[in-house]
Amino acid sequence: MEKVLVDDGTLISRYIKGDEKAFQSLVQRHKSRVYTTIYLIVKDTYLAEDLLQDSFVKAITTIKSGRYNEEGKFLPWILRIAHNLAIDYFRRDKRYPTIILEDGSNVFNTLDFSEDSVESVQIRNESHARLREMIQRLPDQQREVLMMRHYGEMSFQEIADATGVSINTALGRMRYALINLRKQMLKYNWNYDQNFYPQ
Amino acid sequence: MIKTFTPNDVIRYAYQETPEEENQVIEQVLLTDPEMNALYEDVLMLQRQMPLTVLHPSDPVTIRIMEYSQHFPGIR
Repeated sequence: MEKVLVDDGTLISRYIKGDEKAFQSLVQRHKSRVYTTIYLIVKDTYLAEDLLQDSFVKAITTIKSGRYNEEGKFLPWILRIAHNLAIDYFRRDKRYPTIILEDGSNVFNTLDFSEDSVESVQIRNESHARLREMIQRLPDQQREVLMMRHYGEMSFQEIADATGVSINTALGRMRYALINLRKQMLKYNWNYDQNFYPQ
Repeated sequence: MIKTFTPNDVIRYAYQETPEEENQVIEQVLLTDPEMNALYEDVLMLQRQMPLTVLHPSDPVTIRIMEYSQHFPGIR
């Protein structure tokens, strides 16, 4: 018999009533996108796992304290928690200088990663890992819109509402993300459709 | 009044966020404007590629999250 996919809102309702299996389904369904969102910011798998745990701990505390009111929009909500925790980590730790350039981007995003780990060198050999690296180099606001649209499945209006900007600003950030990805592809002589049209 | 279409409209179209009445006009724009078409193609390729960028956390961290939930008191 075909399995029926239970929506997030229903799983949250069951979880609030004490159904731990409902929460397990939510974790299994969304953990990878939340983890990737964090990893694209912090670029460290161990730290990303710590912050993934912190994100879900915050979600558990909020839901079990009766303070959750996102009306079934669990994924965008936890992605925002994860994004903010990852950004806060850098601000608190002051690991990178915060210097804002004329175009509003952080100077950190323009630096090449000179201290890559062995692991990051290995994954760079994969073409989709290259796209991840390009996304990591995007200014925060552009990367955030891209991740919310793709991993969070949010519309541009929802992204605009969540980030407190107009829909045109959200769309503009997406457009600049696309322009910057294209620039990086030209710089590194890489075409990201090569996976689909192998020679 | 004739509406002028912008790159933002093309992005909304690529993500299927435009109303039906706008779609036909945007499709015409894509046929006649190479820059708009290039932007549209970039979005389509990104849509195909993004699922491949997803990484997976280890099992132990998943187990720790679930154990934390099981030990956290529920709503009374």
